[in-house]
Amino acid sequence: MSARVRRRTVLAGVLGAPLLAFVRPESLSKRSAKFAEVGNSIQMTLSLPSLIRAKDQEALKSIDSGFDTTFEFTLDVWEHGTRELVASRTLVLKLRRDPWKKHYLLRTKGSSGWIKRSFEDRAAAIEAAVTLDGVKICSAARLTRGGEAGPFYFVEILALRNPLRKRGGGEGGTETRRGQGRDAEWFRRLVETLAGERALAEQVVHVRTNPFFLLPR
Amino acid sequence: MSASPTRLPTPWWGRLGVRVAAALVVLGVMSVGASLYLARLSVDYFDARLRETLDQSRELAEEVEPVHRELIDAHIEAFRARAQVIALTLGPVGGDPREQLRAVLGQQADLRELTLERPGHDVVRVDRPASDDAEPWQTFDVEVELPAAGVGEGASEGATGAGELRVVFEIDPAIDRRYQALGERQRELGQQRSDQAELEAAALEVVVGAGLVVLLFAIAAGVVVARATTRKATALSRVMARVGEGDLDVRAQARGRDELATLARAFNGMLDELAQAQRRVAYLQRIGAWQGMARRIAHEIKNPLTPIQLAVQQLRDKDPGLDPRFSAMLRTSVEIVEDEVEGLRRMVTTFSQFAKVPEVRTRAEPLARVLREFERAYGHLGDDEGGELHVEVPEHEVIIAADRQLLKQALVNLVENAVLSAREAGRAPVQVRVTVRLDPGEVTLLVDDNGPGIDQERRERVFEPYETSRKSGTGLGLAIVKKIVLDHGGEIWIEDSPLGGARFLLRLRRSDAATAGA
Repeated sequence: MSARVRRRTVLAGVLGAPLLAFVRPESLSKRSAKFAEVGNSIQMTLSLPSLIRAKDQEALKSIDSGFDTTFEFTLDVWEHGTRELVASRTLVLKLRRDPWKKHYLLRTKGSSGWIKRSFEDRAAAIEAAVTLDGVKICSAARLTRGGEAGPFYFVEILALRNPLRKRGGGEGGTETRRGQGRDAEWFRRLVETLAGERALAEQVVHVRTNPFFLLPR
Repeated sequence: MSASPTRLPTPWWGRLGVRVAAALVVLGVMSVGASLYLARLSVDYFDARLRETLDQSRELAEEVEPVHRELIDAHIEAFRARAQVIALTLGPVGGDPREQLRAVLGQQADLRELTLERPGHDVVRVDRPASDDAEPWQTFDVEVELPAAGVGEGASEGATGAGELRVVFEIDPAIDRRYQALGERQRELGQQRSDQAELEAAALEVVVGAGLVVLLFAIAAGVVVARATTRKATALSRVMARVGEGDLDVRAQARGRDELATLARAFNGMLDELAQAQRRVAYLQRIGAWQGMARRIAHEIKNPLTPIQLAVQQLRDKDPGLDPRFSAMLRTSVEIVEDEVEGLRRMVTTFSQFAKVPEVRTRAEPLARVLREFERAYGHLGDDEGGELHVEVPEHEVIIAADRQLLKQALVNLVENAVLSAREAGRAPVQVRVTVRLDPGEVTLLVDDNGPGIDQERRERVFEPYETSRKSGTGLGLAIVKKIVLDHGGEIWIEDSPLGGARFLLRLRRSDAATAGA
């Protein structure tokens, strides 16, 4: 995202702040996902290749260097037409080239620990990392069955590549600064406001899926 | 006194104001521009320094990468060598291979698992129990061929028992942890680098915005200062232009204490004096014209009076007295003619006096002397006619530039006018008071009476010749007074008197030391 575009976004955000109460996740760009009911789970399949592009040499080099590339997916299930959040979960994956075994290692943090998958090919490893393949998004019991009459649900996906750590200090402090220190603090805040929202991650994809519904039994 | 002067409205803006404001604005723009340029240079300088530091940090991090790879390769080689050693160690020793493997596992802390596969034998595996860490151990597997001599109890049965030993080493998690931390730092450096341009641009925007705010304030201040400064100058120049056109009633605004206000006050004072001088000259010209006319009238009337009087006296003397009725009528007619001739003669005398008011020749005179002589000359007011004349002589010596005789005449005229007016109005006793008020550089003589006073609208007009409200007045006495006062360079005007009548005020210049000291 360029600086100009980001500043415009911030400006629009400031001007449109009073309207935030009426903004809904439905306004996000839509991606087509496949949903399936497996047992008591609702599973989703969706690929987000824009999370790491084949042209992003820096990102590819980082993987090849043996550094972990972390993918964090936050999945929020919303009931369409309302502002009701039905369920939310977060998935964390780490991808790196294993310098010991000379292959690509994709680890998924599950409830019982890390699940490892190895790939000889980098492209395959990346594709596996950016694809949510049959991922459980919530329990079917939490959704209402209504068929085509609704209700409808959709999933808001916030995908981050290498989330950046929040820096401490200077944020929300109650200490009253005086003189030049206070001026510097104001200047810093003003500059960072104008510079736009600090990046959450190296790459951010924020989308929503197409609506889905559960068939009545 | 004159009508109140006109004060011209101060112009809102002038060319000088525009120029001064423009100069201030240009200076402001230049200052802010220079500040912004310096800010830009500073940002560029520190940005270059920061980028240099970031680049160095990045290079350092990149230099660590091959070292890390070499370290891992060295570890791998070491693991392989150690696996070979373990295989060799197992070879010549007899006994239970499981026990042997356990002994090896117990000796080397980073061994996770040992697996022995030999043809014709069961697979023997010993391992270390896994910990409860969420992050599983990172391990490295090495498989080596067993030496041909065999292992343990099987070795004695034949030399064909070569097998395979699989050794699983635990990798020190610190190696990976440190390397991943390095990757984290590297990513942060990269992010910092990519954020730098945006922060830089934002900082410049803030500085430019602040500069523009300062510039706006500078422009506003410049406009206010320029306007405040040049407005007065513009107003003064406009007043001067009006004066140049002959309008002496305009006055400049003289607010404030700055030099322009002082100049405006001085200019207004000059205009006051100029207007006063103009009025004096006009009055004296009018008086001069009246004097000329009075002189001519006196001359024209005076000449036939004597023959007329002689003729009627002859008529009275030549009356034969034959007819008593005619004689009585003739005497009456002659008396009437003689009375009228006498009246005309008095009028001619007054005209002549008015026409012949001598030229003022001033010299330094003590005011006390003038007042005492006047008091002596007019002291009969109280003795003969039941009036009261009070003359207050100043205690201190006051010297004035005056023609003593004429000034006394002016006082006499004023007192006579006061006495006659008071008598006509039926005031008894008539009170006249002459007092002195000393001011810096000037002295004012105050002549108060308890007469009927003079209406506000007549107070200028009474000094005009032949203007009188008294039945027997000629209207020349006050005109003569004003001419004498103006010839002295002074002023005369009328106010209400505390005695109930009129107060005439004669302001004259002092010529003693008090003039300088005042």
